Amino acid sequence: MFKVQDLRFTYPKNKEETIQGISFDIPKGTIFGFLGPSGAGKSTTQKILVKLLDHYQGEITYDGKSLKELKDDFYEEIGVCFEMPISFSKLTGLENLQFFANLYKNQVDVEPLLKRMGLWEDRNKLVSEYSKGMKIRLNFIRALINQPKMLFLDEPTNGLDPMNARILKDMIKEFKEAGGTVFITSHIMSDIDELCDEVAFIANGVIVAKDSPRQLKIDHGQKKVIVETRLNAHLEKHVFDFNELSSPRFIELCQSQTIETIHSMETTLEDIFIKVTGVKLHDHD
Amino acid sequence: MTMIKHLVKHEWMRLMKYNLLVASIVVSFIWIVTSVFLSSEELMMFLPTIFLLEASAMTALLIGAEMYYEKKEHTISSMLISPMSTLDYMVSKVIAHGLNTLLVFAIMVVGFMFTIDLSLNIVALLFGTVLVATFYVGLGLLLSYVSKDFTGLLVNYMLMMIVFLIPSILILAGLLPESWVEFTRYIPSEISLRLMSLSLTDIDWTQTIVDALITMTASLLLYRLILIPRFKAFASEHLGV
Repeated sequence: MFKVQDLRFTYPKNKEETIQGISFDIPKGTIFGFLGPSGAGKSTTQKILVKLLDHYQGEITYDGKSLKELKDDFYEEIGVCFEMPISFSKLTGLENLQFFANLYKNQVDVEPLLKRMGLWEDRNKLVSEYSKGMKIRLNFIRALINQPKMLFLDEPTNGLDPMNARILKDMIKEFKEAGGTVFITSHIMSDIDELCDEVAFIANGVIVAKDSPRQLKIDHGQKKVIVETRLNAHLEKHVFDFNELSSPRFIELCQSQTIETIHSMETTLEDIFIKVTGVKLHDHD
Repeated sequence: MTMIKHLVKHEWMRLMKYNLLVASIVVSFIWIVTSVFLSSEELMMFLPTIFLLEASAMTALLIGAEMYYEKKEHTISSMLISPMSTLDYMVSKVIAHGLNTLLVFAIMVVGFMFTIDLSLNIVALLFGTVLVATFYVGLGLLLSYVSKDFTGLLVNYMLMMIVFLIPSILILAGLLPESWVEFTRYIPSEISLRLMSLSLTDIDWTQTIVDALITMTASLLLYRLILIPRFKAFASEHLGV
């Protein structure tokens, strides 16, 4: 869907490049996570992909066509869900959606979406009376209003309660199953882990790691198992490599002692984020 | 055209819901009430200035207030990632605010008719309003680009007006030669005043054509060279995505 090759960008007032030659593909029908600390170049990359910034170097193609050559019709095919509320506060939720819907040729029936997101009963309330969570849900519906082929989601579950976050994540999965493509950023790593087919970590304008969440965890984790046993009220920890799991030492331990827990030393996306972006190091600095 | 129609309709809806239309109607009633205390001659003398203030200052400030809300609520960013073009957006603002100015004029003219025997050239009023409102909508947009908030916009508007007046003040103070008076005839506020006076005086066609051409050229340059090219940067400033 999107192919980015050696993308470079410098803001007019800056001397240094904000984006320093990044490349990645977002295949059609996949969810691509783009992660990084503040100021890493995440927002700049997204602004370039949605054509808000023009003067970049490198090549970006969307559906085989150069992004630079695409006109305003490009927006008929994409939906963007902003992190911050983006509604007219003195209009109702429904009036907001009607306004944005009329900017597009393709329009969806908003009733099922409002019902699914739990806003149908409040559709005629002014947005100024909505809670933060309701505004975020309205943002998500606005992003879907033109039946997009591609969704850009910026921290989509931020500010949502667990139940509504679940609904939203289910809708993102359904969008993908229907053939849609998603570009998502989030600091909630469990969401990224659950949703994304591929993840790229960006730091200081450079992609420092890129793979599926599963592969990243395999690559950055330790292929070891920790076994905790209790013998005479004494807790003991034993560490085994994966290739030791059929060894006599492991089998004997399992037979001779009471095992309380067994954990693989698989890492988490949080740990990988900290490791590859160096965000902790900067904090200590 | 469908897009512009939709945008104009929505501009009007927001002018009403954000009480900006009410604000401009209230101002028109203040002028009507003021007219009760003026003689016919005095009112006729002030009328071009009243028309000018409505078509210029009020238009620029209403646009500023509207843009302030659009920026604060990030709705301008959301419009930016839609098929709406920058030109659609600006044309709709010019049409909506031009219509708003005409509505205010209609209210004022009807009101003034109760106090004086008023006759005016409607076509000339329409002509002047379209030219002046288009230019001042542009100035309102420009001030929104450079001002951090609505207070800043008010200050910048006042500063701009003072800058326009500086040549006249310098001539009055004797710091510029009298011969420069001719040049002050072509500062924006003077040209706008003549255009807004067309409906109430005998038309000097040569002067009117010159004034109209200057205003159209200034508007064209303003929109083409500054407002349209800088719109994306302004609208997507402080935007996460």
